[in-house]
Amino acid sequence: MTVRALLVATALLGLAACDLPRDPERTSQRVRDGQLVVGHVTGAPISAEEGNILRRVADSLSASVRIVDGNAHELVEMLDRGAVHIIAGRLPEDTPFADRMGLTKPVGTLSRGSETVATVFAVRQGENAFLRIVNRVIGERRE
Amino acid sequence: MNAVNDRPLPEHVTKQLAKARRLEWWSLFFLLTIVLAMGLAAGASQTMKSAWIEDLLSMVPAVLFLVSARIERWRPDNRFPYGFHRVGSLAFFASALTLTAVGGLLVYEAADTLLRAARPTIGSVSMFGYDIWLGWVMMAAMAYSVVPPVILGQMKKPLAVIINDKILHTDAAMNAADWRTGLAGMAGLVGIAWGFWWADAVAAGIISVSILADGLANSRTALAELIDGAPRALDNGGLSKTAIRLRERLEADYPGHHVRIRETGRYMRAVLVADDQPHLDPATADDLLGEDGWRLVEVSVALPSATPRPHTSEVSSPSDSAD
Repeated sequence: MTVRALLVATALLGLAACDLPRDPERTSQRVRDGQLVVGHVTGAPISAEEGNILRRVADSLSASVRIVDGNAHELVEMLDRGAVHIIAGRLPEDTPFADRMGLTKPVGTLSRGSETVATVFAVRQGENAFLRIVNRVIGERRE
Repeated sequence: MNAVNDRPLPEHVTKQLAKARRLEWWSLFFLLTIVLAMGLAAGASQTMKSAWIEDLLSMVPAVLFLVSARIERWRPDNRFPYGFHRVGSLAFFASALTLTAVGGLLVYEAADTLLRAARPTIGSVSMFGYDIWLGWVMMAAMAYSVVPPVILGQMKKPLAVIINDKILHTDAAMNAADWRTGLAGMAGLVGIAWGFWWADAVAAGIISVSILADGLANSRTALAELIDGAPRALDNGGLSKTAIRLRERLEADYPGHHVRIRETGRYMRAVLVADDQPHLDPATADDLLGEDGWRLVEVSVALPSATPRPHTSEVSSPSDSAD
């Protein structure tokens, strides 16, 4: 019975691997051919590098970029409802909001006192396909 | 004089015990590799953390088995006149609690995820120039984590019956918990991949209820053993058939007596009690201890060797007539 369950799982996996993972809230589909809404944390300028990545994410989904300014709390709440798709602007990797958002790979660094912290973007929780698209672009930029 | 169970174990038991020990060492080895693999695959992901903690905890019964199987054979001394058989009871209790903790942890985790509607976010890694979703990596680690416990658990169960070892039996249940959570985790990841964020929590929740029930049932039996309950069967909470057989035989051999049996680890201890005097005679107790006499409830005499089933009057010398 175990063996069979394993086989079924493997079969499902193979069958599925093509366009998976998917977004529970369909962020990728919503952005595609429309707008990538970037939540920008007020007072934390988006670096050229970060701007580049955001533009390329939008390009890969044939979307334009719209920037919405706000403070971190507003933006996290908007991300939760899907009103913004991605938060940018000197977001440290150890952000206290980490368990309410999905964090991308590092996009830059930030100095805090004597230490240097990696900065990331944040996407809506659980939107794994969208996260993967963003991460892929970030990965390309690094090479 | 302290010859409490110096009797060597029969050969078939010794053999199976040695085999069980080897199995447990293998279990520990595989669990270590699983914990390592899962740790690497899980990374910072919250999703697999509970599966990882569960694997870590599932080493506990294996370790307790190895430790207690060693200690219980230590010889009795003045400070431990009964020897160390009870170490088995204690280790059984601890194993059962661990299993309960694993079940409880998983139930809590699943309920918490569902109630908060926390969506598992799983990133990706770059490997060999490819960008691979971590969900697949985790699934591979979980597939590996399923195999050893299925095999080891199946091998442990019959052994546990032969050597009457409840720790080993609990450990087999722990192995079952391991592979079931592994499969549930894989199913959950497939669900997540398809965009059903609740899939993982639901799969884990279903499995964890049965693990929790298993743990609680075992804890109950272990508790019964610790408070001198009648010996329980290995696989359910009922009374042990062997103990019932012993009681029937002794009560037939010693009319006018009833038998109290309790369990100390792998072993059993029986006491014959005269029906007309269920407690130690207070006068005898007071005579022995004066005002501390109330603390003395039983004085028993072991059966002399090769007792040819004597009649009540022959067994009961004045000193043991009470108990």
